[in-house]
Amino acid sequence: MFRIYWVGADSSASERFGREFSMANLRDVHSEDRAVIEAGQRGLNSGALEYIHCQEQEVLLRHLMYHVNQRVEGYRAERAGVEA
Amino acid sequence: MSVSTARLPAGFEALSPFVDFWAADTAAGRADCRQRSDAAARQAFYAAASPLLPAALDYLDSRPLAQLDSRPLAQLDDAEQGLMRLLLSFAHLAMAEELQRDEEAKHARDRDFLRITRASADEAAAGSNEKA
Repeated sequence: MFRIYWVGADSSASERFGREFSMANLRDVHSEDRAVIEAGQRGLNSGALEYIHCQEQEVLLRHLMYHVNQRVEGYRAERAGVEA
Repeated sequence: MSVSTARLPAGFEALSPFVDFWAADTAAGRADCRQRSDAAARQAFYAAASPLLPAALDYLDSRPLAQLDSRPLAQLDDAEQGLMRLLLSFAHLAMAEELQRDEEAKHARDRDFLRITRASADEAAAGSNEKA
C-alpha cells in the first residue's frame, strides 16, 4: 500500500491537476518497482545473498531496519525473561 | 468512441468527443479509462488535449475579474467540472503517451496490482455532492 500525503484540500484546478498527475506518476514508478522487489525477494529466498549493503541513499530503509531490529530484540528479551 | 454532445466551456469544444470515454468522476475511474483505452484512443485524446492544457487550467483557475487568487473549485459549473475531469484523465494518459509509449500494454499488467482507492479530487467531489 502506498499513501501520498498533501497539505490541505485542493485549492485550485491547477493544484488538483498537479496532485492527480503526481499520483499517476508515482503509481507508474511503483508499478515498475514491484516487479524488481519481487525479483529481489526471490533472490533473497534462494539464499544466494547472505547480506545486503544499504548505501547512504537508503537512509530510510536503514532507519526502518534499525527500529524493526530493536523491536524484535526487545520482544525476544521479554520472552526470555518470561521463560526464565 | 462515440461523439459526445456534452457541453464544455467555450473555447474547449474540441475536447467534446472525448468526454464520454475519458471524463470519469473518480481517480480510480480515470485510471481505468487509461487501462481500457487502446493506442488510437490515447493518441487522439493526447493530441487534442495537450495544446489546450495550459489554457484550460488558466480558465479553471481564473476569476471573472482576472484576480490573482484562484477560483474556488466548488464554484465550477457542470461544463467546467466536465473539463476538470478531462484534464485529470489527461494526467493519467500523459504517463502512457510520454513515458511508457510502446511499453504501455506491458506496463498495464503491473499497474493492476496498484489500485487507487482514494484521491484528493475524490474527496472534493464527495464534499460537493454532499452540499448539492
